[in-house]
Amino acid sequence: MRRIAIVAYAQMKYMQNRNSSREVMIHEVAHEALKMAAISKGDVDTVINAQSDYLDGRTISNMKTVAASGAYFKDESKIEMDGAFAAFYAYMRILTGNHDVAMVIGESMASCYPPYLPGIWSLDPTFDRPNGFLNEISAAALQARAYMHKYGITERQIAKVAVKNLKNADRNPCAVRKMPRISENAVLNSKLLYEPIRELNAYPLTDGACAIILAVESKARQITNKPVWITGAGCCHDTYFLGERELYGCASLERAAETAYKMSGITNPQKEIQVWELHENFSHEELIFYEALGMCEKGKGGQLIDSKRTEPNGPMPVNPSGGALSANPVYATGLIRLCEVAMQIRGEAGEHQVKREVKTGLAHGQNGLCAQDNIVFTLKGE
Amino acid sequence: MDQIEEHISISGKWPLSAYTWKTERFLDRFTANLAKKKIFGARCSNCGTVFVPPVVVCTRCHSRMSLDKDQDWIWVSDMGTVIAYSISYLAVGDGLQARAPEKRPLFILVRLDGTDTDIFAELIDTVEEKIKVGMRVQVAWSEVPKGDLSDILFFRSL
Amino acid sequence: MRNLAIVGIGITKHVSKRRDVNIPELVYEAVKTALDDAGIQPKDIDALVTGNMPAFEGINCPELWGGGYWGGYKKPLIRITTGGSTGASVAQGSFYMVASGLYDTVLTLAFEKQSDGNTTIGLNSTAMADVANMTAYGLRGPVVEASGAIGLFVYQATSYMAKSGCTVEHIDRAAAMLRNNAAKNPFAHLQQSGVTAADIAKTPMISYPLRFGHTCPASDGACAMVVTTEEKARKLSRKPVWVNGWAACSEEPAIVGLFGAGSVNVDPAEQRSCKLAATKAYSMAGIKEPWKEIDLAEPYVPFAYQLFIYFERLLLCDEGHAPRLFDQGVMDLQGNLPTCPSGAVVSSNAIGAAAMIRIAECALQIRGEAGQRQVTKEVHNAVAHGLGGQANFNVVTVLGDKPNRR
Repeated sequence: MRRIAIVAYAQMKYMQNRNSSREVMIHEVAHEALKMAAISKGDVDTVINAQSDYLDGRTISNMKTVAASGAYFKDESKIEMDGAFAAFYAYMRILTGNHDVAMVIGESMASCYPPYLPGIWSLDPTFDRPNGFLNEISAAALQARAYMHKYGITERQIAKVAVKNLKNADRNPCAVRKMPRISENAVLNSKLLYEPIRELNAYPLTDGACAIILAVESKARQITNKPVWITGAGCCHDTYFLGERELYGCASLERAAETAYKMSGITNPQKEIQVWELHENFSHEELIFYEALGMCEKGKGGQLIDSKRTEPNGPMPVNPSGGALSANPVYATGLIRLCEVAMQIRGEAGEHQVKREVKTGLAHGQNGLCAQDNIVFTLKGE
Repeated sequence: MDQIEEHISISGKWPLSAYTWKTERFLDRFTANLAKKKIFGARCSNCGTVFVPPVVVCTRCHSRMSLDKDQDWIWVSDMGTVIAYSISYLAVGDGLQARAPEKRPLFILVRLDGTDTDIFAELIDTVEEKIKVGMRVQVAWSEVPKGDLSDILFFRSL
Repeated sequence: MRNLAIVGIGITKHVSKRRDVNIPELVYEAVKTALDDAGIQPKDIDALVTGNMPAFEGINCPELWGGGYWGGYKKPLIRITTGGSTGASVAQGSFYMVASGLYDTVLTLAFEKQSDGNTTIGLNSTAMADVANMTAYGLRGPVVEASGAIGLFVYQATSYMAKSGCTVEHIDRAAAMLRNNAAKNPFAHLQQSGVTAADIAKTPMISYPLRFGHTCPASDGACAMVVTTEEKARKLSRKPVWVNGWAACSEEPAIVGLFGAGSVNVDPAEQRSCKLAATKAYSMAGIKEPWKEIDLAEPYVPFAYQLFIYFERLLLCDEGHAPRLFDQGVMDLQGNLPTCPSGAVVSSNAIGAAAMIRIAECALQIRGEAGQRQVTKEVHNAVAHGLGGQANFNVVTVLGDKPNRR
């Protein structure tokens, strides 16, 4: 099986309201990634875009981004899901041998679409949508309550995730929401959205894009001396109906992780993974993800955050970048997680570089309400 | 009759009016020059491709166009060649209504001399029988151009 | 790269309104047929690839709602959407999945339920942002209204007609042939047996050179296929259809560029991206002389004149020669290179599904299971094509009755 690595990446300063077109945003990250790889557009074989018609307000949203993404006369396609899934598709394209170098770009601008409505528009149109009860946040609230009830997780424990991530974000120049002096009480006193979800426990609306370049081993070694190998990847789709899921867990993430661990040969994730970048739209999700990924036993997510083991200088640092709570440009977020793990492995995470040496990292992306779809990558340095 | 019996229908909306689209003001300098009856194309300083109307990112070489630099604008001809055309037989009004033969607008795709793009426009003062691919046309400037895209919406045959 | 084959196919009968089912139920019909055709159960599916054009039903990512209906429960699933070429892009997603070695058996499905929404608005929503900016900069008048109704295809047609011997009468005859083919296709939407070129010529001209009789309907329909490895295919199917080559190529959208910017796709009839994609797909399939080695073609033809253009852009004859070959009967069901025996997109257009049905039709013809529309020639190699965007996405797939990879 071909060995494929992340060889270059580009992020941008994420913003609440970026004063540019999405095309210029896409061009910027694509251009920066090519520059970092010191290759030209001509060296790229395939381009995969992670975009959404319902976020961009444009049907066939990749029709007019051909120039900006560098896809002119290339084998280009579009995944209408979180960017990590686009990276997965690009990875499979290179695995076949049909392509050697892929550009993956994810983007959206929350300043351009009505907030949270795209999530409502994904609901079943005959009952949930006209019923008007479910949306991203109310669904998350149901999950948070189910999780708290099942295992006795407290609001304070959930707040600790926000405190950790928003403090971490202060050392990430790209993050849009950073709060170095945030306290648990500040989170607990922040505005209530849907009980028990509070504003600081929910992701910020963000404009942003991210690009990564994947390459097969032979090309990767020409491009960089620090290739970040994809050692495992797995994804999973869960049922739509919240009532059919055990909301206090995340079964589709368990499955996705299982596939990725098996593929990479990881048997003891707690010991074998040195950094974790998880896609947590809401604070309580991070705790649920700890359990689903095998970072702790079921029901012990609260204890894990209490123990501070997932702090940047702990043995299992989670979201040293600040995670989705610090910047969530929908459809780019999962790709950013891949980018951040690559940066940690390469030692290029600047101020938010974790102290211990990172050989192996895990990147996670999600899609749909309450993390209905999940994807996990395991990455490893040389 | 291929309709199969209706069951339950629930109505809903996906309102495009709920969106905002942001773009750079790349047409400003272009339209300002139209007011002077001058068509300026944006030329990519990297690969030389000439775009009318201008673009923000060069399609061919993936460079960002620097539309504020004088040397990246080139004055192009207001004459060009018809690449393709159509004749509108039906008016889109309340439904589709057939137009009277002498009232059928002629639409063309024109490539202005010296440019690498095409624009669409209406061909006026020309009889239907004369329209063909390859014919030479020229912008039908109004006496006092408005300084907007409508200034190059009409062409005459040469 | 390992070999892969199509072993199961399901297509629903396309109609203008399926008010008796919702999206998950409509697609389930195609999925069930494909699974039964392959002789497998949902548990045998390792992954799914889905796609449709969400503007037409007003539902964002409908596979989130419908995935479970289609066997997607707790399975890897990805969504691909590329406009008119969606069906082919989705199918190619499944080819990559199997060829990569990560998954053995993949269910791929594409659909559209256009009666749920407003097709005109759905089509206009592709360029609304651009038109809005251009309007802000003074664009107005009949040219704008006219472009909505037919879009860029009239320009593609007249440019092509100037380069070839194609006349309006040719387009009338092409439409008649395709309608008659569709009449033999139980899945097709418009079935007009016995319609003649003269009948087509009587339909009103919309915008030269296109008449009503040359245009496609808006359909509700779905298509699903089961794609698997060589080992499994040989066990499951007495006639696996081998996916030997595939490629896609994107260029700039024709006519209207980003927010009104100039497009370097100057001549919409050129379609260089189609030639590039076809070249790559044939090369991958080990086909050196497509005009000799391809036995059947299913180009993406929503407007009848495109039968000629894409026959040429798929490198099946020299440029400008397709109308003459058509006149000689080459593209007939009994001809030497039968083209669109299905009746083409001009007879059935559920946008998301349309490009996948081109692949499914080629597969059915290779199997010899196309019933009344089965072509006379023995089909060993076939090419299917999908077109998306503003004539700027071209997706080409080459199928064969033997694994024939270079």
